[in-house]
Amino acid sequence: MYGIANKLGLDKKDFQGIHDAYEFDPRTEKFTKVAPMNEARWYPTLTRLSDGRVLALSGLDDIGQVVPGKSEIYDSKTRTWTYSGKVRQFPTYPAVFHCPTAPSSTPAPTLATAPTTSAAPRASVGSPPTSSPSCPAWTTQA
Amino acid sequence: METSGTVMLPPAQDEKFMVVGGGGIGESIKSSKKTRIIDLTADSPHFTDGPQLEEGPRYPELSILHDDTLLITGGDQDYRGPSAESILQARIYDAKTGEMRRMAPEVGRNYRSGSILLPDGWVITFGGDSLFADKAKTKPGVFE
Repeated sequence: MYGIANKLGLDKKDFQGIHDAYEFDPRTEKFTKVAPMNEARWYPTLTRLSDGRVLALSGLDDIGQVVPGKSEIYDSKTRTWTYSGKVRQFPTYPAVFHCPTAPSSTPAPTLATAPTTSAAPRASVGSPPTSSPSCPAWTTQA
Repeated sequence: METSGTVMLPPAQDEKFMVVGGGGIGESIKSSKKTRIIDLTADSPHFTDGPQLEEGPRYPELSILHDDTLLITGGDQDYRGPSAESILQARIYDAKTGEMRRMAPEVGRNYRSGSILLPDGWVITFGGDSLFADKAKTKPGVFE
């Protein structure tokens, strides 16, 4: 008997993000493929905005590097993704929340984040930023 | 904050956030017993220490309950939950009083598991499995 297999182990693999996106219907329990994201993202952070659109941030791209700050928004009416137009690099797995008092219709929503530092090599981009409605610029909190 | 959990504390209008646990970056045995709280409505928002946990959880599950308390379950003391470091503790944090109390259940959930409050008030926790805790599956096989 003879076999060849990839080595099994705890070593970090080269992560490959993909562009695929799906909608899930809880009634039929089925996934429907929608237009792909502009960026390949392994473990993006998805945040529902108050108008129902969904913001995708961070993630690792198709060669395993952190997506360099490009965020995009999914619109379930058109089932397509559009770049938010704002560029800010987040480490992997940022925890992102829509601020309750933030206006909902702006293309760049007001967000509060408490990102983790990166689990991926060379992905750390510094201190966690936080933005609040009363303080619309990104500022770093101790 | 690596592998910590973050939650917007109820009521949402207060714009208070809590970070729970977490650990060192990547392959690290460090894990944090801390909870940290920030109030974004403050003039100069900054993190302050909340109640401390007994064991430092990475990947904790955080569920807001119907009475505006926060249920903290599961997590693991090691990166990616390699073997048997699951945290068998559950706690409830009350954002109104700032107090935390231990709950009876012992639920072992570790790497990237989840929890959701169900419409009838129960909480479902799911997923998570130690990479190498299951000895039956990690024994070298014998070919015949």
